[in-house]
Amino acid sequence: MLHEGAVATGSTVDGAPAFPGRLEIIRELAVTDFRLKYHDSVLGYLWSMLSPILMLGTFYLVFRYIVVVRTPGYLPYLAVGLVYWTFFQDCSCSGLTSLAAKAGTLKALPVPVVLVAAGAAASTVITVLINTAVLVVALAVGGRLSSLAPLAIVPLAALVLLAAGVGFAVAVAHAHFRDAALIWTVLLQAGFWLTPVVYHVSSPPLWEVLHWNPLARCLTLLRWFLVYDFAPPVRFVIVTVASCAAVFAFGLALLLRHQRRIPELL
Amino acid sequence: MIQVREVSKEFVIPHQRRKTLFHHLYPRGRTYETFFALADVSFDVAAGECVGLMGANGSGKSTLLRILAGIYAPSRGTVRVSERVAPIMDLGVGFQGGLSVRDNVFLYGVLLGIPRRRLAAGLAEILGRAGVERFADARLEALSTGLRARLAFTLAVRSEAPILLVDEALAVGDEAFQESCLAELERFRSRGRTVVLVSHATDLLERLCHRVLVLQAGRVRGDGPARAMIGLYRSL
Repeated sequence: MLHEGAVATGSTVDGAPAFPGRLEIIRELAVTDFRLKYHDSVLGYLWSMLSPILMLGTFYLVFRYIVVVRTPGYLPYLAVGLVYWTFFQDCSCSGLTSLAAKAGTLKALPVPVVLVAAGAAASTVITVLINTAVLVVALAVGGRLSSLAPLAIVPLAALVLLAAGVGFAVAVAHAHFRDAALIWTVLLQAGFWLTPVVYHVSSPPLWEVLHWNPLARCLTLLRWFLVYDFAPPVRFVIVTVASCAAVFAFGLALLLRHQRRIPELL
Repeated sequence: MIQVREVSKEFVIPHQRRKTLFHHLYPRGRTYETFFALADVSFDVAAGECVGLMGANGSGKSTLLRILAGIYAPSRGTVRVSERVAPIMDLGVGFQGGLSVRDNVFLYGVLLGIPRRRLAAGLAEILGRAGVERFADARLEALSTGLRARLAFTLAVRSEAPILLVDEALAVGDEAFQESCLAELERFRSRGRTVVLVSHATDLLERLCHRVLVLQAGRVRGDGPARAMIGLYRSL
């Protein structure tokens, strides 16, 4: 193991856990976070579904009967949007607070910072996988499940990369600036309305502009595959996956670049 | 095994609280000072050696141990550690009070780099050695501080890392615990493994360490046999 400072160049850490050990650490941290989140609560895991269900009921009433949107199959459209938006929000917020929450561990044990952030992201992936199973069952029971549903794994994987990458980036920001949490809350509010989560856009110029956002592209693909039985152009899928992977690579690179200094900043 | 060359560690201490983005963007009027926790520290530790670190509070012992563990990066200089390390610092930090003792064995053990299957195979022995077998399914928060420290120490020793970094860990716990920790460290040392031990307990350093380094204000003031270095420390 070589720890080098400002004068020397390069750094290798041979003594860090090997690859299977790293996966075990991520798994252990993810399962622990998941269990602690719902531990001691009366409804346990059901709390995680209550939020999207309440939002679904409220937005459905408002957009169906007050604003009167005419999107075909609006309820499943809204359900897909809210389930995956909630995941993006949870994953990025878990990433944001992950390092500060484990400050003691990071100062006392040589656990790579990136594994702690990955563990926090992975715990929200457990949630979204369970919620996806519930959503698929609900769509099937309601006769709205598309025959292309198995393909939803592609945009779901892209969304996980996107949310984890954003989570890594905001985790670095939060380690440096404590007001990053407040700023991120405001940005999430703006992001919610700038992404077609609860509304539908079909006019080409606006649709194009909104779909510069990789999150909007993931939601659209998830809806096409889960509900609308629509096979999109391959290019749309490739651009979506590539843009999410690019965000993940950016977040990971940022975290790796800063991880040696983070324990002393916390 | 451990090679430390001209290592310095500089911390920036702002005079005002500077933890917000606004303060970073508009640092005008905000002052800070730099503080060298370590300055040009060089030494070697051979395989199988037990080296003590002593010095007054704030002399840089814990910072040095954290650098050896790879937790902090040195500001200058080079540290080479040729094998895996198991740090014993702030015993029990990393535990989750809301989970059971059994679950915490897996969590803390995995964080120390012990494979889960090895933890599962040795669970009964770990709980027995830590003296918490009766509480395996109780919440960890129900355990006393001393029992938590025993469990953490038992796991750290079990990690089988060739290098053990110990920071005042033996100060917690009762006499029996301290004696069992000492016996464990002696066993560790007799198996040819390397120990770097931070302590103010001179009898402990004399009993365990081949060599002691005395730190003062981040600099190495002496490096030699335990008895002579204890004398030097007292004369500073």
